[in-house]
Amino acid sequence: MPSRRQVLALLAALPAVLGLPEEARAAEPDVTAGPDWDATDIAVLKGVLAAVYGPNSDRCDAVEALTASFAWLDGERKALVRMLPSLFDQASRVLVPTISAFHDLDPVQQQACVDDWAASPLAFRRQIFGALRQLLLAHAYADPATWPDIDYPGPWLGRYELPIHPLRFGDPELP
Amino acid sequence: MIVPGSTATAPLHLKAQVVIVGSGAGGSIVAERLARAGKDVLVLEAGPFVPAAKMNQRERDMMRLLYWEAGMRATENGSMGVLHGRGLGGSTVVNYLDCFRTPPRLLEHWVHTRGLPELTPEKMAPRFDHIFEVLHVRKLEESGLNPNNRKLMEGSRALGWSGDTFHRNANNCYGSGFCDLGCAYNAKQSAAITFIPLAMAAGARVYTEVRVDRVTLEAGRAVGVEGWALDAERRPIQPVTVRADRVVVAGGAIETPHLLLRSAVPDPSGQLGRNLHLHPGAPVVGHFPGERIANYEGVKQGYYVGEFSWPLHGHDDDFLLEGIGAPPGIAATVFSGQGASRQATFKHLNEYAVVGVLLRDHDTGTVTAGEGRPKIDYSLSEADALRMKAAVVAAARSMLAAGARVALTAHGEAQILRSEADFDKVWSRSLTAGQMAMFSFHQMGTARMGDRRDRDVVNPEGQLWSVPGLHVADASLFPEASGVNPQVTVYGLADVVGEAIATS
Repeated sequence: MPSRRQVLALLAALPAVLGLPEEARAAEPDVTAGPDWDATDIAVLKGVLAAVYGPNSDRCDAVEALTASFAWLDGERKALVRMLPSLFDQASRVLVPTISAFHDLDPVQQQACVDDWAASPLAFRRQIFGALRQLLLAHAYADPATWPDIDYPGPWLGRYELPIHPLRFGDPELP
Repeated sequence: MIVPGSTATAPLHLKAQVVIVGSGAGGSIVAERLARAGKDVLVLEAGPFVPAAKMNQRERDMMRLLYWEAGMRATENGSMGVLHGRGLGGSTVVNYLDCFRTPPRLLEHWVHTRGLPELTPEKMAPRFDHIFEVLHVRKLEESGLNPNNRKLMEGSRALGWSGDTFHRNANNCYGSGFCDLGCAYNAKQSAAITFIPLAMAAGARVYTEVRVDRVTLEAGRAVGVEGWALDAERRPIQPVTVRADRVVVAGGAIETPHLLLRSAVPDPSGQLGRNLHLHPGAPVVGHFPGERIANYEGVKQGYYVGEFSWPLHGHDDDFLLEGIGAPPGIAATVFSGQGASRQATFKHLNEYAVVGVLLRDHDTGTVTAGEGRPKIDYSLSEADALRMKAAVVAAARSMLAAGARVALTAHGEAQILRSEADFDKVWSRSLTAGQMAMFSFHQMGTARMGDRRDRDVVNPEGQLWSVPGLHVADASLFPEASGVNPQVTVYGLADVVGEAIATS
C-alpha cells in the first residue's frame, strides 16, 4: 500500500510522465468536454426548436448535434453557449407575461413566448434568442432528415460519379 | 511531406530560419517565396490537411473540420457570424474562389495615405500575374452562370448597372456548389494544393495540427514560437517549441492579433487588434414562383455588380452585390419567422434567388484576447448602417427587376418588398444588433501596414515597428477594407512581405 506522500508524489509526477508540463496541463481545459446540459436545459432547447422549426421538429436531431458541436467552440464562448438554455428559460419567467419558466409552458404558450422574444424591442433579448435560433436551425437543416421538406437533394457525392482532378503541383501528403 | 501534430509522441523542438504561423493565402505565398530563395522554412498550421477525398459535402462534418469554432464564431453582440477557415490552406479552402486584382484606385489610395510605395498598381501587377498563374485564375463565361447568378445579371442589366462575371481560381470546376464545404474534386485551386506544395517542393517543412500560443521574444527580438501539437480532437498532446531567426504570423485578421496580444508584443501605435473590418454581408432573397433556381447548386458566386463600389467605380455608397448560395443549414438562419409560417416560407428554397450584399465598412471593430479565444467587438456605425440599407434596397431592386414576385430581407421580421413603394420599410428600420442576419466572410485590418510607427502596427515591409524579426503576412495588413473579395489582395500584400524578408 503506498503511503499518502507516495501517492501525492506520483500524482505530481504524472504530467511529466505524460509529456506535459504541469502548468500546461493546468492551463488546458478539455477541449472535447460537453456542455453538461441537464434535462431542463434539453427540454428548453427542444421546446425552442419546436417553436422555431415548426411541425415535425422531432424528426431531426438538432439538439443532439448542437451538443456534439459544442466541443468545437473556443474557451469562454463555451460558457456563453452553455448558459443559453437556462438564461432563456429563467428570463422568460421575468420578461414574458406568462410568469413561468419556459420549460413549464405548454407548446402553444412556448410558441407565444418565442414570438415575444423574437419581436422584443430590447436588443439583448433579440441577441439571446437569435443565438439560440441560429444554432438550432443551422443544425436542424444540416440533418438529412429535414431535406425532403425543402426538396434539397443533398451532396453530389453518391449521386454523380465524378473523378477527383490530379493535383497540378503534387500531393502535399506524399514525400 | 506534411507532418500532422497528432502523430507526435514526444515534445517537438524545431529550428528554422523562418517559422510561419498559418498556411492560408498569406502564409503559403511567403513560404513559397522564401523556400524558393533558399531559406529554411517551417510552416505551422493549427488545423488539419483535409484532402479532396475527405471532403464529404456535408455541413456538420465539414464545418467542424474546416472552420474556426465549427463556423459558430460570432461578434460579441451576436449581430454577425464570423466565418473563417481553419486547416491547411486556411480560408482559401472554403471561399467561393472569387479573384479580384486589388483595384488600382484602392492601391493608389493606400500608396498616398499610408506611405506604401511598393503597392502601386505597376509594381503589384507582376505579383498578381504570378498569383493568377499559380492559382489558375480564369474569367467565368456567362454560359457558366447558374440560374441564381443569372437573375442578378438580368436584373442589374435591366437597371443599367455595371457588373461582370467573376475571375475564379478553378480548374475544371464541375459546379457542384459545395465550395464553402471544401472542394471534393480538387477543382478549387486553394493554397493547400498550390502554394503549399510549391513551397514544399522548394524545401519548406509543413506541420499541421500545431497550435501556436506565443511568440517568443528575447531582448526585444522575435526568436521563435511556442505551442502544442494537437490530437484529432484538438487536445494538446505534446509541447512544441521552435527557434527561428524570423517569425511570420499569418493566421488571419482574427487569430493574428489574438496571438500577438497574448504574446504581449510591444505596440507603440496602440492599434494592434483595432481597425477590424468585416465586410458585413447580408442576403436579400428574390422569389421566383415555379422556377427552379436551386441557389446552392452550380457556381455559387458567378456574377457581381460593381456599380456602387468605391474601389471599382468611385461610388460613395461603397458596396458590391454578388450572387450567393448556401447549403440549407446556413440558408435557414437567414430566413426569418418562426414555426409553421417559417416552414411555409423556407419550403420554397428551390425558388429563391439570393443576392449577397458586401459592404465596404468604413468604421471598425476590435479583436482582443479573451479567455482562450479572441473576442470580436463590432457594431455597424450609423454611417455604415445607412449604406447597408442602401445596399439592401439595391439588392431588392435587382431581384424585382429580374422578375421576382417579391424580395425578402433578412430582418428579424422579414420585410416583404413588392415594389419601390415598399423600400421605405428598409429605410425606416433600425439595424442595431440582432435586427438583421449578417455575416462576415472577410476579416481585415487588425495589424495594419503603414509608414508611421505611431499609427500603424507594421512597417511597409510587414515587420512590426517594435519587434525586429516579427512579421505579419495576412489580411491583418490591410490599411482599410478592400471592398472586393480579398484573397488576391492577401496573396499580393503577403508577397511584398515575403520579398522583403528574402532580400533582407
